[in-house]
Amino acid sequence: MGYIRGRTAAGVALAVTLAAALTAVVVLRSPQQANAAVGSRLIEVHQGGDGDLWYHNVAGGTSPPTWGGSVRYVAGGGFRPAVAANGSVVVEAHQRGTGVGELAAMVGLRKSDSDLDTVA
Amino acid sequence: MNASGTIVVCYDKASNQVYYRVGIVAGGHVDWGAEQTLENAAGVTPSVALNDSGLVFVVFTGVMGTSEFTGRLSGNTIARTGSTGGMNSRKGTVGSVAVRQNTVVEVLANVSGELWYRVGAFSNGDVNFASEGLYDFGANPSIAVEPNTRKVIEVHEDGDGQLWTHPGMLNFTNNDISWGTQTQYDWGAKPAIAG
Repeated sequence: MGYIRGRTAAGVALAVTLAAALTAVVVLRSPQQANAAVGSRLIEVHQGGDGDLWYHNVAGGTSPPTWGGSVRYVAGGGFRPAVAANGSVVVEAHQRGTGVGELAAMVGLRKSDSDLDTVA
Repeated sequence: MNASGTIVVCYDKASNQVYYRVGIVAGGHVDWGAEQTLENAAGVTPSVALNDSGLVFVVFTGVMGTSEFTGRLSGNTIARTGSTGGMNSRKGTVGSVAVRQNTVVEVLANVSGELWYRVGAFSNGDVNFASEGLYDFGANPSIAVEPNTRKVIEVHEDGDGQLWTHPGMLNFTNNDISWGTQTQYDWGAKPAIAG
């Protein structure tokens, strides 16, 4: 997990504390490029209790779509998740608190079309 | 994923303004660009979608209801190309948006708990919406377009701790959605989905 960071003009990494919060939504460019590797897959994320974050794999090619089981990927300290996917790569962003504060981003890799995805 | 994988993240702060960063996914991390303000986007709870051509569509909650932003990404900057606001200002307060090529799909929740959808297309720097309708009841909707088909999958809260999904079929000819039957899939809050 990494904080969203900015850089000064001198190129020094500077952690950015976001003064407020709410929805952070991420969308990847070129979403179709790696789709062949993972088929008709989607990923859902949501907030559970006590700041836990969970995801579901969704096989969108079936009718109706087939939902995999829920998997916890953040144990505490995660709120208002957003997600994007580009083929085998999944990027998630969430608040680290319930209000004003830091945003965190995670990058995950889908394993295969027949296996459950893993957010690394 | 190759080097063209670009990310836009939109968020708000204590002030009534939408901010964004552009990032590149590389080597298992995201190299984020500097924070910038989204031009003429005074509001909170933004949702953003970006297509392969660099066209950007953002929906957010403004003072008078849901507002919209259409722009184009160039480097780490998004320049506004279309007008903000629009007809859905009377329909929604919290929204989510997804794009596939030139097609834009938007879902909105209003204060009455109604969930509305709209389907449109990028055109001359703006989005022309061709259809809209009431499709369910709930809160905090999110929608994704399945990458390889015309299917859309929507998720939302029911206001009582349950999460529901509502599948649909996107018709690219008339830019409308034929909705299927909603089902409950989990418990929780603030669902988001992506394809």
